[in-house]
Amino acid sequence: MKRRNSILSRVFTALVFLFLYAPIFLLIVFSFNRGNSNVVWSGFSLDWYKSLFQNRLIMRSVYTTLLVSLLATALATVAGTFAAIGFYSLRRRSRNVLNTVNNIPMMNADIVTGVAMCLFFVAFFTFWSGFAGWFNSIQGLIFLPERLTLGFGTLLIAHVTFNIPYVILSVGPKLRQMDKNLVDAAQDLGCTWMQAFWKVILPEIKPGIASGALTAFTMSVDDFIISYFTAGSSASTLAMTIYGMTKKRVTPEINAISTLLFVTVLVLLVIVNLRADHHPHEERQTSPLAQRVTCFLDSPGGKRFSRIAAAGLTACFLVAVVLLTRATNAQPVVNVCSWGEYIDEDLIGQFEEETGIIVNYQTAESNEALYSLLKSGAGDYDVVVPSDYMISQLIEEDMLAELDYRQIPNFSLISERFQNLAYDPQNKYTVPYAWGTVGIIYNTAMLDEPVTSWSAMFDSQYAGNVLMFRNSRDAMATALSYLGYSLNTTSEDELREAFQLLKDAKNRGIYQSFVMDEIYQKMEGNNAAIGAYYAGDYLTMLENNEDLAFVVPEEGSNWFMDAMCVLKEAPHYEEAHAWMNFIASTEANLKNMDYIGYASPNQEALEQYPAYYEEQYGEALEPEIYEIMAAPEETLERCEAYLVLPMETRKLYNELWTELGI
Amino acid sequence: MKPKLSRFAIPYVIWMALFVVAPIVLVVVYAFSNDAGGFTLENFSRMGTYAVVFGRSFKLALIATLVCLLIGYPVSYMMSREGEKFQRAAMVLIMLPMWINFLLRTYSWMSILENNGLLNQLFQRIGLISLYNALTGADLQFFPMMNTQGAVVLGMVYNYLPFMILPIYSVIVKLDGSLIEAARDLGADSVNVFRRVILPLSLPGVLSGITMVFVPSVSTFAISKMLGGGTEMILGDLIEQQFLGGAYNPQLGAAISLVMMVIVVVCMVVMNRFGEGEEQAVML
Repeated sequence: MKRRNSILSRVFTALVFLFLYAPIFLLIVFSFNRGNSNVVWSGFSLDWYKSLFQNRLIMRSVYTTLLVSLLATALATVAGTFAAIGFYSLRRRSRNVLNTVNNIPMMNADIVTGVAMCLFFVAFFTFWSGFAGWFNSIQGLIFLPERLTLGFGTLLIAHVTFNIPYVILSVGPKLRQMDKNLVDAAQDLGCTWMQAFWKVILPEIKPGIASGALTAFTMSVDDFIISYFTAGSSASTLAMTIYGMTKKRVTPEINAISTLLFVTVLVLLVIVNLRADHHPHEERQTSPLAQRVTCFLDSPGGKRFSRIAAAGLTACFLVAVVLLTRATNAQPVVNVCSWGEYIDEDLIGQFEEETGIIVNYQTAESNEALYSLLKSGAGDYDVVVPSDYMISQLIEEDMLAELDYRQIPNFSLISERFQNLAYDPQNKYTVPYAWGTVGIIYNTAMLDEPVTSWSAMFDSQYAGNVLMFRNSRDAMATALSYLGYSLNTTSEDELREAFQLLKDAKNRGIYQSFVMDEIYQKMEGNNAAIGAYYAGDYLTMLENNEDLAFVVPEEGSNWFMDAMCVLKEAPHYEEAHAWMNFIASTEANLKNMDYIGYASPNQEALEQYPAYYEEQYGEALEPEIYEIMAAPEETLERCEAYLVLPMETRKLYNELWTELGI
Repeated sequence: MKPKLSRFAIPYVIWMALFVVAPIVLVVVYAFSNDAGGFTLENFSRMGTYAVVFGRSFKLALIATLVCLLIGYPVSYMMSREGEKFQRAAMVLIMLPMWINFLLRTYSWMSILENNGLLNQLFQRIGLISLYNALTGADLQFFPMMNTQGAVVLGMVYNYLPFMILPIYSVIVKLDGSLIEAARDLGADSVNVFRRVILPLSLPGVLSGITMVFVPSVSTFAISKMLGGGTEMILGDLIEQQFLGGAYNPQLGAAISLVMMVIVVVCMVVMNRFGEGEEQAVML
């Protein structure tokens, strides 16, 4: 009855596989690239594999990912199997209801599941702190922690929750295929129900359990969105780390770790399949998919394998539990949230070695995104690095803690002109981190004449070649500057006029895309000619594309200061101060300035940087570059700092911004 | 013994009530409240403004689902007719990409599709672009592929194609061979065997495939952000923007999520009509 496929249809299948694997192939190839680009090939090297193992951020997130996936899979497999058996023996009606609920996490959009769980956890924590406070006050025997936070625990709960349905859906059909009389027969022959379970049911449904576990594990590893909302500030999975990078530039280290994971899985699967081939089994043409994926488990070799796998799984589980309890044991930590590529990562390692404090380092996309993270309770950080206007807003909303400057002796190194700025007039909350200007980056090879004015952002001749900010404040600022209005205007007419300018330009197709850190890839790869962005990032791009130029437009622009703040009731107040003091040192500032390209607020670092550069690279720093980095007085005179806007205006911004997106 | 076995379900029922039902109830509560916590319907009345986004999301997700079906069905069908070894290898090959994080795979597409990306460079080398310019009189430096709706659809198809292939394949491969033989014995030609026997029997797989592609397509935000360049906002972007993006308004975000959830429930009700068979097909 079997008919073979025609050549044509085989070619079709081959093309589909090519489609599935082309990007993966590319990714693997570029993990061997000498340069740090994902587009330009500059020669073979294994450097990224070497640096991968030294990159704590990546290795830690790989560890978290594997740990959470393994634990979640183990828990979900056990729980799911029992639940499936329970469901199976329920009456049809209640079974259908439960099955529908069971399908929710799987059928619901990930983002809704993630958001819902985040809301739930935060609500629960609020309830808990009330309860624990009351409980501790009425008795002195047991002390309950009053403050719970998102972290590994919630991440694990979320993963278990979305994994169980997959297990149930694999095990359920196996149960239904099983002859019901078997269980009855076993009991008639004297088995207790426990024995019936171990001796009759379990062997029947084993393939279903195995495929359910495999699916659950795969889903756990691949998940991003749900983790994103439930992991909080102290745990980052690999996917979250990658997401932080896709916004900027994915370092080839990520390609390298993905290649390693991919190859490992490939090799495992090949071995398993080869073994299955050595033990050809009876006809299984009609076995279902779940069986197919795991059909090796039924073969004699596979049986051994499944025993080994079961033992392995148990061992992994135990190891994971041990590691977990060890990890949660009292090592001091500090949770930091900053921007992408906004620190020389060596500094993190150096700080950890010097102080023994572990740094959990995460990044947010923009000030607005950071604000949302803090407000929703998803981000439970100690130190954040918002920009000036956001700092005022956070102070206004009483979200920042006053600092103890005695613990930050290096604060005295901050240049006087960067102390007591408008956002924090008495300097009670902040330690300046870096500053810079906003301007236009353009590609001299793609344009005939240099850009000098914001008009380039709205000019039809550049249609399809312009990159616009993907955050309301900066995008509106380009239009406001062009129109000659204050960046801090609260006039609705002026704001609507600026919005109209943007909307109109968008409709004329001027903007190729709205970007934040994606601008790196686009400008470096000559994919766009003009983009508005920050000076420091321009300098990083310049390293990869020499045709790029930067200008602070003649109409003026924004200059900003990002400063470190500690959140109110931060659980690691002391450690946060240690971190800020470390970062404020001249040495750290020099390193950071060199790495991120933004100017330091540290007076010594600012003065010493040209010499430091010469020492590092053996050539003098060009004055123009230094001026872009640390804008001179005459440029700063044209620029305006953002101030916090009144509530009404912020609402208008949000509305206009959403409308622009539509 | 029955009552004893069904007790196994109790822990999970509690778990579900806590971590599946309660969070969703919270979303509903949020959707009907304002920033002060009072009851309001305002979040829904504002929904009209976003009709364009709803329309666009459904259009793109439908196209993606259709393309997935058009590619996925033939592939599953052909796979089921190949030899045992091939089938096993093919299954592995379809699952395997999921081990590389989808963000990374999508990122990889960016470098393929960019204006100055690999595909455009290839077209340039082989003279396709100058040929096109000569034929149409256009003056193109590259074919614009990035930041278009097409790119977003491609991203969806790429990421969710396995979710279409797996359920369809699992149903087709399980079809009772004797039914097909019977149809043949009764005089049906291969077209008729396919149309009257295989296609109707594989419908549960097709249906679950459709849901499994459609739902994540409607709600994705990473794909549209990366490949659509933020100029073509879809529902997922809108929700993410309300919760973690530039426009903080969790109540509105919850309302939009709720509307989307209702759509999912409608999908599930439709699916459930096709009975128990669907459940097996959803597997994997």
